[in-house]
Amino acid sequence: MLNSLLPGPPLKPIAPGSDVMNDDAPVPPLRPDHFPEVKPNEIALMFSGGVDSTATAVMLAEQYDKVHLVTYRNGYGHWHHHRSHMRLDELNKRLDNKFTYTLISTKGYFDKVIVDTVMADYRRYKSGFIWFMGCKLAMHMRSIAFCLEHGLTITTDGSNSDTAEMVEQSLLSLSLIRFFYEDHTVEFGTPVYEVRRAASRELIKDLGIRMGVQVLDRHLCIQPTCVAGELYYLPYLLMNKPVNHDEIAVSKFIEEKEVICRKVLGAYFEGRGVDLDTLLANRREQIAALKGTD
Amino acid sequence: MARCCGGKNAGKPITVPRYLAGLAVFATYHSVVAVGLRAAARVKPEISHVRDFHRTVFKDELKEVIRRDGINVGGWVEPVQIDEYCAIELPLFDDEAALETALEVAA
Repeated sequence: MLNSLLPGPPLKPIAPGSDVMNDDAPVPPLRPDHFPEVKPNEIALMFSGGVDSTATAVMLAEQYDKVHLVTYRNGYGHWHHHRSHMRLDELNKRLDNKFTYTLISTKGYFDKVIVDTVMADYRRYKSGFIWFMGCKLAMHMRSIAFCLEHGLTITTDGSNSDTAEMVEQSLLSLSLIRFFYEDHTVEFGTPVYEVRRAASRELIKDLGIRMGVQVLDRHLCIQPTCVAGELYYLPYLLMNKPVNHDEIAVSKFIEEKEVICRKVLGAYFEGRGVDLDTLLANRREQIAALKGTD
Repeated sequence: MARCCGGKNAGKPITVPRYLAGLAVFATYHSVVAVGLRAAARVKPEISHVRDFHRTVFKDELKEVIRRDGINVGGWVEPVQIDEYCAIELPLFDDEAALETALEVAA
């Protein structure tokens, strides 16, 4: 318990210029003439260590040989990432070492997607949702890169209808993001979207995994803290004030920022010496061949 | 109710003490962050636009909370219902065409 309250060890990249902040799982090498082999029995999960993403991890472990847990850090009041790592140890002990863990800094991408233009965007969209949607888009963009690097065809997260007031977990956002993934040969799923929180809690409790400190419907001290998120959703949580997410504005925002994400993604692979379009073409061939053998 | 506009609890009535406590927590937390960002921006001028963004959002939201926009404050002891809170079900869009149609209709 005390460990989860402490700030955790300082984080630094595993190599100069890298955005990966831990060395638990190796970063696969990429070569222009040799692309990663597609692995249909492995899956990625955007993982915080909270109730929903832990329940998702447990469910995925039943169906896949390996689950790649990926945690992101946006660099702005986003702390206590060692809590997610503590979760990894708990999961691996109970579920046959099926999990790998990677902590990635999305600060550079987040800056490009929203932070650098945040005041201009706020004047246009007139709501603080831009911070969270921009943060999540940067994470999704990096998740696509992660899947392409590791040969994965499916990625998931712990989005849940019980917390659909969060802009990035609304059906509209998830639907648009799903198309963004599809364009990059990755399927995006939300396996626990319709699972009630009580059921997720039971699933985790049955495995003897820590539940943290429960306050109302929230579990504290088991996942990273996001100060901006806490501030933005405070009026809703404390005073039942409706969140201000105009659906048209959200869809316009995602459409606009996806253009930036595509450019950043192209630049990311260029930096790794690989042409993104060639990599995607190779994956499409591999996926078609796999479907043909099914 | 989970897919209700503005969140599943949006607009549900609350008591006056809960409103006042919420306002106090909201204002205090934001003020602490505002002071922190102000100090940080002196050391790292590149985050001054983050400081400005936070200050603007805080100001706008504080006005809304004080005006009680969308906040349904009832009695001192019982959260008496004043307005009906919304309950709009939204579909999950399985294909792009359906989503675009829905957006056009909404616009």
